[in-house]
Amino acid sequence: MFSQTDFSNDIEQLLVESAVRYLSDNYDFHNHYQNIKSGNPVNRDTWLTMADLGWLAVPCDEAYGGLSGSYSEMLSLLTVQAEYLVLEPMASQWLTAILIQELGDEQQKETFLPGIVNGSVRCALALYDEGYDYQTNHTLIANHGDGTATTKGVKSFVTDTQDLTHILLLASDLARGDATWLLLPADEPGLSVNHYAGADDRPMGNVQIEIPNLKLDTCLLDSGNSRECTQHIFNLAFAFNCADSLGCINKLLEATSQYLKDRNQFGQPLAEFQALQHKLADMYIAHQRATSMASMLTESLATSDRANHDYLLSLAHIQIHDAARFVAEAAVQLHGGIGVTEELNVGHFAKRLMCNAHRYGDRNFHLNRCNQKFTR
Amino acid sequence: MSLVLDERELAFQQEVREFLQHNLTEEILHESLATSGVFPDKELALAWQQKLAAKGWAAPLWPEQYGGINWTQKQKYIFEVESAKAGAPLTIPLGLKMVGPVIIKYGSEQQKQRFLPRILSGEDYWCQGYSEPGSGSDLASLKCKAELVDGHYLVNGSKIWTTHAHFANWIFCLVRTSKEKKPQQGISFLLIPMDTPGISVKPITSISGQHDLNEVFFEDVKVPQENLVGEPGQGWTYAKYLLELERGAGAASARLRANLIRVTRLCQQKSMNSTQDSYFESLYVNRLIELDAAITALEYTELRAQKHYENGCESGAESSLLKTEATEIEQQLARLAVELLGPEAMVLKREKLSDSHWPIPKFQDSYWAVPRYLNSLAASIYGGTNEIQRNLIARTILTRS
Repeated sequence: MFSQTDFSNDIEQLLVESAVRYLSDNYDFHNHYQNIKSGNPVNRDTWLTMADLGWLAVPCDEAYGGLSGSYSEMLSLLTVQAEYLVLEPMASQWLTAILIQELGDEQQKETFLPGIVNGSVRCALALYDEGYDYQTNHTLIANHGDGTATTKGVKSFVTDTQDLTHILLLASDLARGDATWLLLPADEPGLSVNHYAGADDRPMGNVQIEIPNLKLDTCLLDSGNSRECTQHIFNLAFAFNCADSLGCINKLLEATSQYLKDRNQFGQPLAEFQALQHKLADMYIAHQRATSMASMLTESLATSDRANHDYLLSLAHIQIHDAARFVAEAAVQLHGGIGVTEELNVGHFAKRLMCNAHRYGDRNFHLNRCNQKFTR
Repeated sequence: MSLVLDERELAFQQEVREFLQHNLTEEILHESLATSGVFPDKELALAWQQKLAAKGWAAPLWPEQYGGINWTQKQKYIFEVESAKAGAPLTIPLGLKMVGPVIIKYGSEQQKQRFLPRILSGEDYWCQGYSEPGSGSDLASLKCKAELVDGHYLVNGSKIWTTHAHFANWIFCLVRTSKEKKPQQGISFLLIPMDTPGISVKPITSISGQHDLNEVFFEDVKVPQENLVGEPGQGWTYAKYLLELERGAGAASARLRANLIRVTRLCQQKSMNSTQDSYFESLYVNRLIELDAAITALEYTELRAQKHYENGCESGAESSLLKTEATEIEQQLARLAVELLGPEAMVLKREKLSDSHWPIPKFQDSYWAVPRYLNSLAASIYGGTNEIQRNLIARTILTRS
């Protein structure tokens, strides 16, 4: 058997081990279930603890109180938190930090990064325009040329919208014909969020934007190569999402093999039945495929040219989420009736995987992105 | 039997279509299309059952003398196909298709007089007490006990996965009345009023967020001896008869084809919205065709099975085959529907998503797909898991002379 985890360095190992310790002591399924039922699934105390533990600081530069962590560290930590069904939006927080570091000016970095590190700034990324794919933007910004602009659009299926202080809005600049990022306070007049829960209980919302005279000086993130950075942020979002899915797959395999050992029918453990052994073996095979794809994407983010990321990240999304669906359905099946109830964690992992398969681009979007490599 | 209809059958088909046209109101149709659970809601099912009963069509599986209809297998099939095509709700099978036929085949004359009319009218609402926490696939190991004390059975134990127990006023139960060598022996089939003291019902919420299932607890529940069906210790035989009805009941292919049409429609809507519509369609059309092929094969398997039963053959591997095929096609359809949804697949409770900017009628295909998918995961578990069905199929093949 392959060993479960493979760390790139000691810091990563320390980070992951401390996360496992904290989460296994403080984040059991019972707590999770209570948080969901409370109507405010993201727990504020947990969020601040995560800040104290330094998790929110991982991608931020040391100059702003961050840890200047590697992508490998981020991906490992995301896999661990998914194993505990963590609802606190670490990935969104990190994407915000990375975006501000790549595109923000000095003043914006000084204003926002320390708040990201200590958890007081909470930001959702509004990326998706209803009816389009993730790279076609219909939310528009018209620059008036006097430092103000009109912005109008609707962003759908925005994830991690609870307790927002800010919204990062991806819009199309009519004049430049290019993507533009705006970092808006959540209470900006003309901005409204319709909140709802995702199938995996992570908070979501649709964002309405109708701002006639937006002052651009503070909110426009424009100090870098916007096009390349946008592409990179999307690829990181895909990678973070894949790491989250891998955590769910890990846990489903573990829970299912334990259940087969524990549950008796016909006078013996389910683990004695060959039909079920084979299904478990198939789950393991799928799990290993997903693990290998996660290794591939970790290495690609660390080493290869950003130009190659589009294709590789989409390959990873497709492979990991095909494996995810198989593992989720097999885990439910092998648990039998209890697997389709809300009382067991298995169904919650299955729903998280279903959501992840459609979060930041679905199978079709990623196939299409791969397809472009051949037709271009 | 074939799908070709003769003149009389064509006339019958026309009669069914007219009935559906007049009785399937927009309200019932919308509620029916919004159904994502295994069973329709109680109100919807009973409303539809009343319309069927008024026409004398509520119980096609029953003989005429008890309020059933003397339909040929072909007529039953036509009725199922037309109902599915039109989007009519299913009736709740617990009374009409499950305990009803058992009472008809094994019950006393007094039980028939007492229970059958009330099933037909919807006055009695039944649930099924089979599985127990420790007895799922190994149903015969069940422990819920009924002891004969002073002319009454005293029932102790619990049942689980009891669909609609929270609506039911009666439960038909498998209980252990004696300890015998083989676990299948000593099981009896008992009818219990749900308002008997000592019965409690605890809800189970499904991963779709819906409440259909329950746990039912029995603590010193006194049941009159006359509520036993047939002979004591013969409950397993009756249960098998019923399980086979559950597995092979009706025309699953017709419902699946109706679902295929919904998923195809979803595909068309999505491809119209997509920026690469021709590419989008090419991704999915072949998969829709593959599913059509699977449903067509199942349709003819069902026809062949009916001919087999008409010839007086026992139902055995056939019902396992039909159950396995129908549930796995259902899951493939549900999976494809979710895949087509795109980011909408992240939302389960659509009523909260819907707002004035974005009104989504509840019966829309996109509304239905996610809960439908999650509920479909149970289909290869209930009524005997598909692993158990495959065991039964293999055993039949290997013991065939």
